[in-house]
Amino acid sequence: MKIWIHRNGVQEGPYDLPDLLNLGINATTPVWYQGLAQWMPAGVAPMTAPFFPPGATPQPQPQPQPQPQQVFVQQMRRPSTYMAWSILLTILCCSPFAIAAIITGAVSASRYNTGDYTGAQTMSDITAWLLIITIVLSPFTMFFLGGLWF
Amino acid sequence: MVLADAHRLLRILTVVAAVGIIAVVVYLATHNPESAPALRCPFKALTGYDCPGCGTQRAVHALFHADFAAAWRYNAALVPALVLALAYIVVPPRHASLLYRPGFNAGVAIAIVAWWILRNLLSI
Repeated sequence: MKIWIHRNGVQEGPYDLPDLLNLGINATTPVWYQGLAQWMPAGVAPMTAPFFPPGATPQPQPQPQPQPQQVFVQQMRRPSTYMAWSILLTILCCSPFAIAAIITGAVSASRYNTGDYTGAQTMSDITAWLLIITIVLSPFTMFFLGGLWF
Repeated sequence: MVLADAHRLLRILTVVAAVGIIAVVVYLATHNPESAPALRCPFKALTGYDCPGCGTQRAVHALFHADFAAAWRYNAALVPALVLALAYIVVPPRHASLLYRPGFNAGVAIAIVAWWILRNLLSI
């Protein structure tokens, strides 16, 4: 897969991964490839991150990056995992859909942390639907299956 | 994306659900679910087993009478669940806290299922 990088304020590439690693970039170099929502530091993007383990000394860069934060300032907002409602509705409605919502919320958070922002959003959407199903179904299951207790 | 509208729909439904929950809680302040009409768990009605939330109405009624021991006996998971839900409301999502680590979320789901199984095995 082709990877673009941002160095000294100039976009370069595309490079293949082995060529890219020979360029002497470090963990802070912004990279982008098909599938990333936006530019990310090489130490964060899932494809390049394994080659820049945290704690490794960054290779000395001849010139400091001119305002690197300008490139990836638009960090995508973390989609809601709806954990508060998932927990409440699991306890109050004993709905299997609410338990499933806790799990999809966890998957959403996990995907967000690996930089898969579109995947995180999709899981957040599914979580919302599971909670909608829970709220809509609960009055019916309580009244028709449980009935009032006298 | 079609699914994107789910969030707006859910926002409306959570308001409806919150009103319903508050109404039941207010009702439980003055009515003992052991003797007054109350909601009944569909899972318990179908299977005869307790669900993770069984005992919540009795526990809420006990909490209104400051009987914490009884609340704990009716449903030991209620107070921890309420504290955890409150934590998720109070702590902002962008905060890199323990609450938003995927492993922690998965742990919550496992804990609830474990509580579900254990309370039926141990009759608690």
